[in-house]
Amino acid sequence: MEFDDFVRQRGAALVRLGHLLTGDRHLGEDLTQDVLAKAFVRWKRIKADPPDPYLRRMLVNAAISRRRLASSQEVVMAEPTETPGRDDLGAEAVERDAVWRLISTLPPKQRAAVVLRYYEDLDDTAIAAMLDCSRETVRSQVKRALDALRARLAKEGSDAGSAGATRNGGKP
Amino acid sequence: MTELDRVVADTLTQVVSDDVHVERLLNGARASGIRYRRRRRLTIVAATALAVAAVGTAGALAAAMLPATGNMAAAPTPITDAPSAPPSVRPTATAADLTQTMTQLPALPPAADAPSALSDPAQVGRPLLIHLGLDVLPFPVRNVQYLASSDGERLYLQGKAATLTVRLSRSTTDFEPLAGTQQPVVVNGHPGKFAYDESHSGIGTLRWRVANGLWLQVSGSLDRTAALAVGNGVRLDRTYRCAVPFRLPSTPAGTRVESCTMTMYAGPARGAGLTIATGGSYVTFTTDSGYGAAIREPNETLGSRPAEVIEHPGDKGRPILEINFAPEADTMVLMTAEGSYNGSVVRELAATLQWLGGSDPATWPENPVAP
Repeated sequence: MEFDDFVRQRGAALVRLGHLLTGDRHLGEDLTQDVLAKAFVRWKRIKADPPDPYLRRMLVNAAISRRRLASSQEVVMAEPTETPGRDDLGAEAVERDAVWRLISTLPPKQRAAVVLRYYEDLDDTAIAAMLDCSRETVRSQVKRALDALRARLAKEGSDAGSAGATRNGGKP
Repeated sequence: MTELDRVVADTLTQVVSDDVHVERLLNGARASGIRYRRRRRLTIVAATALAVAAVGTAGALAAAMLPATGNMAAAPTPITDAPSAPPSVRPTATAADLTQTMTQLPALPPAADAPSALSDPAQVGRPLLIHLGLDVLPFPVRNVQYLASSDGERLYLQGKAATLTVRLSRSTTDFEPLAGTQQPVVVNGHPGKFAYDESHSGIGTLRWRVANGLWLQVSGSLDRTAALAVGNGVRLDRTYRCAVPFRLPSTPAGTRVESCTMTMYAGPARGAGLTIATGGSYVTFTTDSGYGAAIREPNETLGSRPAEVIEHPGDKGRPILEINFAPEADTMVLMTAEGSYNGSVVRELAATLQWLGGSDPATWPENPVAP
């Protein structure tokens, strides 16, 4: 498959993956473009095997490296959420917004493991190959990520409940 | 699946947008890839130019100590008993020399009896032949690079503030995309397209197809008029050799040449490149001459030449073997082996490489891998 054909077929999916890995749509697009640019230079070698797994791995590694570099230079923020008033959103959208915000704050490898499992629908073996670690490490990363999400969601629910109770004159 | 599993999966699926501009992504990736490749090439030049400055003091000292070496920079490791390494006394370029400019393309060795691209388009894609020529340079250039490979040919010009790429191929697969607004044009009587992309500091791209089916493209900091002037000056009626200043007498059976490059500067610096392939292994030879090259940390001796040999993980974790050595003073050969190479075979290639040197490509072999 030629480079142009690959990008036309798989480019959009890679940008979406980049978005989820970086937490920001524009950063995700920039990162995907960088990865594709490097692949373009070596396309003859890359196309010898199915290129999609290799490109996804490049993207995951680039996202993790970027977060590592950024962690010493900047505070990585989740994508600024468009925040219409809570009253304007359905409960499901509010929950999704909160979950996305929390996923965006996970450490890079945990976040990559979560994205690869729940968005890319990969099994532990495939994720381990992509993250260059063991299946046990993948399971442990996902478990720790879910534990953190569960705890933070519970805390946010509890805080929201307290705030709601205060606004409602102490009624639950 | 737990409730939290479902929430996480739903969140990730719904957060991402379907609104991805794939053509913009493709154009950006291609343009960045081309710049990335160019940067890698220029980094080698810049690093070598810095090495000139770094060894400047040592070079001056060596010049004072060694008679009749002119201003030749001293290599830190003495080269002894190097096969096919005639003593060479040539001026060494300084970093300033790399910014000198030329107003004419340097002469290439003609390929005797080889048909032109106009008379036989199938000749394009033979890595040791160059069919692409240019009547007039659009601006003074600091360096010129010719590349010939199975994908086609490329002429790259770098000036003080402008670059120009001319491509010739039997397909447009590896051409820069026609980005920006497009308009039909006529180039030397052939219909073509001109595209101008204002978002990248004004890059003009002119593409046309000549009568025998070959594609040509001119791309650079050019408006329509300038691009057409360059396009009308492209010559396909001559054939030259792409030549490198060495011979490889002991390549494995079935070795083929994948690509060849020649880089020429206004000053004494010059470079060449050759990629050979055997089965699934690829070895690229890059030579840099005339601007003070030096081996930093030789750790092996190959064919009686001190060499720096490094192996490290590359794409997909597969190893890459790099071998650097100086076949003569002020010259460096950099070898990079990728794919399913055999380290012993690559070392043997380095050990038996016959350095021819000199500055006249006409004296270099027609086929560097012929026994």
